[in-house]
Amino acid sequence: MKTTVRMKFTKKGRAKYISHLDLMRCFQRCIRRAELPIAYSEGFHPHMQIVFAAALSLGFESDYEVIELGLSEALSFDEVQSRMQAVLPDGIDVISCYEPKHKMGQIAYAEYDIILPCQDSEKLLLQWNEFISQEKIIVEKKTKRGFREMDLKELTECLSEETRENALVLKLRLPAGSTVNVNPALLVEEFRKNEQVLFDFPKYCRKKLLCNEKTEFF
Amino acid sequence: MKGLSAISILSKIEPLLLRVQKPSQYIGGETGSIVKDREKVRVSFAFCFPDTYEIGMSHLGMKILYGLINQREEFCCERVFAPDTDFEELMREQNIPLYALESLTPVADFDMIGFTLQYELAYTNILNMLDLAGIPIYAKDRGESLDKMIFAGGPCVCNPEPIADFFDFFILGEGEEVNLEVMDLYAQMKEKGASRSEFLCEAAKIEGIYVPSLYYVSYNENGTIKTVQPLENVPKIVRKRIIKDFDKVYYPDTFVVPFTEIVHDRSVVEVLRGCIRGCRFCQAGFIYRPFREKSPDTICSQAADLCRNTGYEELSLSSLSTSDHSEIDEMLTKLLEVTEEKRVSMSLPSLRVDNFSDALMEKIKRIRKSGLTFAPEAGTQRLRDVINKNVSDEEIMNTAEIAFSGGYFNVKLYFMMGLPTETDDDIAGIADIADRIIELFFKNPDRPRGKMVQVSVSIATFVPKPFTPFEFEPQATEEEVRHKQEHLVSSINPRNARRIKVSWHEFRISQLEGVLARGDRKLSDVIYEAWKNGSRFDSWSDRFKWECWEAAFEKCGIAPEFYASRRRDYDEIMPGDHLNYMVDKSFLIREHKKALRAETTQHCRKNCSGCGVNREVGRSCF
Ligand code: SF4
Repeated sequence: MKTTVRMKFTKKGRAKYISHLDLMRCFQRCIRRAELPIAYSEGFHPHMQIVFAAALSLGFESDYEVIELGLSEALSFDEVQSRMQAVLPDGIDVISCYEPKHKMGQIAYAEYDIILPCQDSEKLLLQWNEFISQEKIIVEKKTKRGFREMDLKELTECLSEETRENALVLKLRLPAGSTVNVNPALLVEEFRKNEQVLFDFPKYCRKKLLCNEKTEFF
Repeated sequence: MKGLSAISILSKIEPLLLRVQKPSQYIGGETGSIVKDREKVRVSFAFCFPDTYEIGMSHLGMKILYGLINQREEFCCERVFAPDTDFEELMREQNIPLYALESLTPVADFDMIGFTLQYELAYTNILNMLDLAGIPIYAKDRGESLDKMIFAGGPCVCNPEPIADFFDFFILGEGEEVNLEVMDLYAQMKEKGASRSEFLCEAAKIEGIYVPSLYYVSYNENGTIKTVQPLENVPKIVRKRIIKDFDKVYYPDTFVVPFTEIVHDRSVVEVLRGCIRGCRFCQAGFIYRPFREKSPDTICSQAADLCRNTGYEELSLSSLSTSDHSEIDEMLTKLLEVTEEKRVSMSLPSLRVDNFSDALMEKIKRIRKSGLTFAPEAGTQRLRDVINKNVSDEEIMNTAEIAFSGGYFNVKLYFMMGLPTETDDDIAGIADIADRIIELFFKNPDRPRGKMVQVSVSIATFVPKPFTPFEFEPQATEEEVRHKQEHLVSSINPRNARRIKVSWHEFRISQLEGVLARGDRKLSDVIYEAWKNGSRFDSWSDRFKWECWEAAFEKCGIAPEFYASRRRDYDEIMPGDHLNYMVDKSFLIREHKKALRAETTQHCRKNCSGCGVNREVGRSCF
């Protein structure tokens, strides 16, 4: 009996340098190692029925990656989870397996934690507040046909800011759908354009994927 | 640069990784990689491949030794590759030392640092890696402490003299036993607090270990070698190691599976070692003797383990000539059962033209579609007899015929240019073969419809290698090679010219390979200077810089022609003559004389031609 299982997993540590294309190949090999009864497409070059939700930028960590697996025979969620967990590389851990609830196309937003390492986090926070309370934050975004202007201000939702000893931690919600999609690095690099703003190599972690109504994507 | 911990390496490289191509190659963490607690092991070993990750990770020898050494609880083996130029630049700018991928520990913090030498053109990469690691490049500058012992193994070690000044020791022959022996010795001596020279003197007593600093080389006035004298109580001649029971030798049941694509990204089972053929130009055919094979059952169970544990979708077989396996039919039939069940595709390189039977072709046809590759190596029967490549014209045409009927339409042919005794007729013969294959295509009633035949002719410049019957021969000069190239182009039938694609290697690269292959210790300084001048990745034609080498030869007062294009007398002392690869010099001379008479030698299974290996091993080969 054919079934579809969704698997939520992390992508952390060294695994964050696996590109999206490489991740696909990595999962194909892990599925073989796990000997899952994966379904194949019909046709001359059959390929595994697996689909990833919302590609993640190279170098980002994530607590919320989703893959959908088409299975040719039913297997309990626990079984899928434990077999896959046993073969996945370090940094990729299965969080849960479940039945698909939403369509992949319903993904509309993503939430991120952004860590900006710095000497003076209070000062950086002030600068951030100043930056984000501007009326408009216009950036150029590369599209298939040249550049397009985009106002990041109206697209960004700040959920929280927190100062730590040597870092500013931002929680942001940004569009992540197929029509509008904002990479948080775009915003952070725009912030950094001010020469007074000083922080080290920023760290990004995707915390959640949300549907249109800002409910969690399952 | 020393003293950086793994954590600080990680924090230093993280901001850089997104600025370079394929960052996952610099961070480790692949499935199948083995990370041990370095505090708990007795000996740490950094296994260095002097080329990029995508090439080094494709190399079978590294996979074998990596698994073998890590199987031992008290040892750890980690991988190190040459960073590509973009990352090297950042490493130098940010003072990041070369590090190993498993624990991200600086290479300089390892006990033993081993390189595998697969091709001569990687030598400048070795120097660059030592420099990036912050390790003195010349062995004599490394002091008396035991750590950072620099050594090498692999086929180029059969003449390691050009790089002798950079290494503490070399391992000759097959590594599965001797690597563990030398690590055991190291562990003991480290715990005893021995010095570097004490260790090296002890290591030199292990069969297969060559410590170059314990041998003194003197030269004649004409630049040739006068004597090679052992300085201490070490063997006068060092003999290579071989594995006697090849069917039982360790083989990994899993590989490190990379994230980024590498050159050979698949499971590989080694089916045989050595070669029965005795092609006179082929170094591998002599230095890997004797011929040994694994049983079909061993091959199948190793294949099944690898497929299961790596998850690879493709399996290939490794050997010098798979079709010489005595049970090839049984082996392939059984293997195809395994691979079909596991939905793994099989790829079969290096199948010989003269061994293609219809039945075997049938089996192969099921799994292979796009193209077919043969290596006739020379354009006429006479020259193929000279090099003992026992492939007849008829066999080449036969194979092409079967291939076309089987639906192939791309044919790739490998030839050499500059072979001993070669004439313009032999060169024209290459064009003639390509032409006749095309004619054959059009005459074949079963040829694939709607497809156009394409013959690619790839031409390498012949490089005489040590431990072959051609080690006495001069390499063709630039003028000779240019003339041959022009002659080939003018010999192609204009009617079929657009269906024949000819490509060749850059002359200077082949010449440099020739210099290094038969070079002596005087070349160490040349290599050092070339590296200083900016040489690295010399085997990549887009990175190779002849100017760097030219200046280095000039500075050291050495003419490359002395090594590349000089004919050697039979009684000249070759740089590697104090190394015993089990094949007698007298046999090489015999074979050379036969070559000049265009006489062939039968393959080992038909008739033993007395190369000396059986005597060295102490049993007959078959
Ligand atoms: S001893 Fe004879 S059979 Fe063995 S490798 Fe040499 S020539 Fe071949």
